[in-house]
Amino acid sequence: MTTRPQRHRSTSAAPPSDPPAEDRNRTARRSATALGALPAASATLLAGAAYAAALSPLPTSAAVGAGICAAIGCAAVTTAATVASRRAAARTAVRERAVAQELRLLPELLDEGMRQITAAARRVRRGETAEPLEFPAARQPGDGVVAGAPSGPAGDLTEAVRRTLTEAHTAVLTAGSGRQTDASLAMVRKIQALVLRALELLDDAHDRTEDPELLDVLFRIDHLVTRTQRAVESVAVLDGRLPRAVRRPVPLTTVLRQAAAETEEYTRIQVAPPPAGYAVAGPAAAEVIHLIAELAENGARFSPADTKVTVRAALAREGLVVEIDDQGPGLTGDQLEVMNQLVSLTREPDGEDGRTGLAVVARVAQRLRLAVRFQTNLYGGVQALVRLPSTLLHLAEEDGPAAHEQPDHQRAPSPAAYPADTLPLAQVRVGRREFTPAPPTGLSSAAVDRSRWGRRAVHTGRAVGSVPAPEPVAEAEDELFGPYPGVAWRADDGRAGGR
Amino acid sequence: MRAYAVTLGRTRPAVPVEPASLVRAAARPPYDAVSPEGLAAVRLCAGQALSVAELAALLQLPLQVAKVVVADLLAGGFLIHAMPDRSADGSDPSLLEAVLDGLRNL
Repeated sequence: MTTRPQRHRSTSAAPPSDPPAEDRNRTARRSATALGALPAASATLLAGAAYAAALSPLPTSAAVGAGICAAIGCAAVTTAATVASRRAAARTAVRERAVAQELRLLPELLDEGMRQITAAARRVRRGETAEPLEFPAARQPGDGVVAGAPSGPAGDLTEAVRRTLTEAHTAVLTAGSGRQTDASLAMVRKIQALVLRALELLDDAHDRTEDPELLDVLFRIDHLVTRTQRAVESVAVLDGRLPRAVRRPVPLTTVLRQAAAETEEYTRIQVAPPPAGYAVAGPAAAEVIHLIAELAENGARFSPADTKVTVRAALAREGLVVEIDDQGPGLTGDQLEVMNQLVSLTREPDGEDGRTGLAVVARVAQRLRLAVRFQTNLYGGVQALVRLPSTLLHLAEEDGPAAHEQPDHQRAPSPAAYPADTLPLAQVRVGRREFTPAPPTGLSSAAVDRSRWGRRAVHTGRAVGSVPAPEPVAEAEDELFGPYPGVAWRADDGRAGGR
Repeated sequence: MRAYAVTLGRTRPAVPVEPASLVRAAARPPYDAVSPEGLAAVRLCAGQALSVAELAALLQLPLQVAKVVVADLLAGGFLIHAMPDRSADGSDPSLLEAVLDGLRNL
């Protein structure tokens, strides 16, 4: 048996005589644990070395040398682990052969991986586009190398090594893109500023016309500029930057609707009223909007034009889940798996297959630690699920259209749920008077929506200067919407008659 | 929210609405089908009549967009027209002139 001579090398793990079965099992378990811990350490090492290789101003060889050293270190540990895992799996000859074969491929995998990463680092240093990472064909299933083998510790290890190599490769590419785009960052900022200016001008133009046809044209331009904004933001996101600066929490309704509005076929995106009272923390909101927009657009693009894409949010343990459903022809299990791997960054994007959107989703999901998953829905189309952890959410006493869903006042009643500095106060000037609607209300959220998106300053005076100020708005709201429903709907006893 | 998203691109009111049209909340609660802007409009009009122009200002919506929103609410029965006081003589030229001035000032 081939394991015999090797066993003496791993002295600590191997007792001199055959241990009882129970001991062997324990050893096997321990080996498996050790193998599980190994990749994490080596991944850090490899990624660090590769990153250094890409960033270092020193000659590439030195930095890449460090990476190769790391790889060799990894290989060495792997060899030691090989012994242990072989022992653990040596209960049957067949299984042992499979494991051995699996493990023999590892050095080749590592060599090849590091060769490609080194090459990628060189190309990145020269400012060229790096090749995507490709693993040796011998590891692909179906070529009869290891029939049904990559399970158990050996398979886990191989998988971990592949993951590690992929991460290291991604780190190299990321570092490279950082170097390359430092110059273009200024350009991105400039475009963003121009886009914001265009949107401001459009706001102004919207206010100046009651002509439906002209407004229609303005809407089309507005939509195009908004999509331009999103495209520029995608560049920023892929570059590891925030799409836009937002400080205040954004109501979940606004997040979902804005995401829908930013897609190409926004009229096909149907947003169901989300659970009331939730807002997404400011810094995360822009990215969440961007991510949901990408997913909704993806859904719309790959489904018939006469179908809707629905966006829903549902409460989950420790957060919310946003579901984006399309009614397209759907994807096979393999295709879904590829997409899931792409968004979880466990697979290297091919670069030229039009999956920029997924790359953006992956990047945002990674930054915000969101779980994103694609699966088949009951329409036969694709359902994208996004889990928003509660750390990104604010719960506020905010009345939305969905408020009726919780008639028994289970929503958090605390006004402190919305910190004062994040309160979306809408200061509206009416005539010569000013009042501040009691927040948070539909009015205030509508107002913050607009200020939030870089909108104009409040303009009102001229339009309503000739009418009295509707001062009791806040009171009326409280009376009507305080405990709701089950309150008298007081519609026709107001002051209107005196007007 | 961009203005086009509020009306899903629609620029024509579903029912005729003028900037000076006075509306008030109908005696029925809004349902889920009402957009956040529509809900806010209904709230503002609860217990008092407001003109479409006022609503546009309060909601910070372009006037034409507010007209579309209000028209949807009128069509859905969430808002109703608040009729002006009929006791005044509608044919009084000075009143008509005052109304015209008011409209021009909008």
